[in-house]
Amino acid sequence: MIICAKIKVISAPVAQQIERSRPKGKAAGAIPARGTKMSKPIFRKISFSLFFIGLGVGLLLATQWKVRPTRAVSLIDPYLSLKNTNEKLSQEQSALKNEIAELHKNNSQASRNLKENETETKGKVEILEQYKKEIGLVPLNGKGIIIIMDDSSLGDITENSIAHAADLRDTVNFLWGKGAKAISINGERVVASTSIDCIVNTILINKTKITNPFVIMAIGNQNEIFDSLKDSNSLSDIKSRVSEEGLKFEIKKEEVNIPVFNGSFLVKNAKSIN
Amino acid sequence: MFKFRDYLIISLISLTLGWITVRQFDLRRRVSELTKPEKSESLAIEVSSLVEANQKLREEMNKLNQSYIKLTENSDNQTSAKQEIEDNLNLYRIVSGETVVGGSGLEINVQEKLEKPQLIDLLNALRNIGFEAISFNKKRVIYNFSFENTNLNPPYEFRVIGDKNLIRDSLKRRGGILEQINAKADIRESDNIVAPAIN
Repeated sequence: MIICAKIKVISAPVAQQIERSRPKGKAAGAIPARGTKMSKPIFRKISFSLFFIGLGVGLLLATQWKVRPTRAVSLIDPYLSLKNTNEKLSQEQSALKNEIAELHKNNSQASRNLKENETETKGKVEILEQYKKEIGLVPLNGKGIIIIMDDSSLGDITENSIAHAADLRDTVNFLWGKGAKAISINGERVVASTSIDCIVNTILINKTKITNPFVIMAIGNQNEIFDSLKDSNSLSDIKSRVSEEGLKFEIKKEEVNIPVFNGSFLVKNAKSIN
Repeated sequence: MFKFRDYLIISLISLTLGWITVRQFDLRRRVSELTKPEKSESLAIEVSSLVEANQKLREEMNKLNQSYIKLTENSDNQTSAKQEIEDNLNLYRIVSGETVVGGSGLEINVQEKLEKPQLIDLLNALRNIGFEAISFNKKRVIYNFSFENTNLNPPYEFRVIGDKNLIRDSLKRRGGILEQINAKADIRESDNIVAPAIN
């Protein structure tokens, strides 16, 4: 250490000073020897510094000791594996849905070709096209409304300040009640078999994950639906959370495009009776 | 005796130790965030749902492919094409609610008063479980069904045509929809449930 390394060269006048102050009997010109006791303030400073350094090292070692797994198990791998699988399956779902939409288009075209070539089936194909329009197998566009529902951006997140699956269900129920002809949420067509579900923090529509903001489109009597939505008595739970918690619920009149339903209808055992 | 350089060295060492300590704690926090049971549980449920959904989509895709082949067959009387159109008509009549439909399923009766949100949630749960046809209080439920213009006084009757075991078990399971909405329901199974046509 530097402390012990230096030797002070004492000049003659200083040596005399020391000589005068030394108790009698001590040899003149003697220099204070190395290794003499440190003064208390310096000792205290060193001790404190070493104490805190030691504390830091100790904490670090203790933390390191705790984190080290005792067996060869990685905490992250199962989670990452699930996440990767989720992403791959979502991509696969998206590709399957696009292909189904394309197949519906092709089948419709094939039916129309048949109609032109075969008078016997002409009437049936027309009826078929009408059914497809009703049940969601044909994209629709027309005058309607768009609702944008989103979590509040004001203050802390609470249960009432975020948009829930239940809010979407209530809104869809309301829109059908006001005569909507077709509805979609974030590009998912709402049909007879559509369920709107919540799994922890994720919302699924037609078993497809969607994220906020939630864009609800509806075709129907534009003015009637718009005025009904604006009425403060309608969807009262949502409206109260809009004013108290800042939940977003914006309504506007628009020309909308409702996409085709690209899922499946489950009918295996049911039979028409008449 | 301590010099300024000594203090500087000790400060640097302490600073380094402090930084390493903070990084260690931050890493632990991020690891525990990532591996929270709720996050993994949510992901697992999503994955399970996706596997099932994708399987149904593949089946639908195969069905549509077969349909296309039949519709575009090049034969004299185009028998397959005509049959395909007929089959699709039957399917769409059922889905659109235009015909009275019969099949195996169950009847769900609830005597106590339920609020509109509870009824919306119950119907949503039945859609999630899956059915082929359904009616509420003798009114066929199709794509545009709403509880808005409906009499909401009890008793309530759902007639559901579909996989009766699956529907019954899903409704009655612990944490299932009946428990969630706190509703007591009588469930009657039958091989001949009838859902009326839309008016």
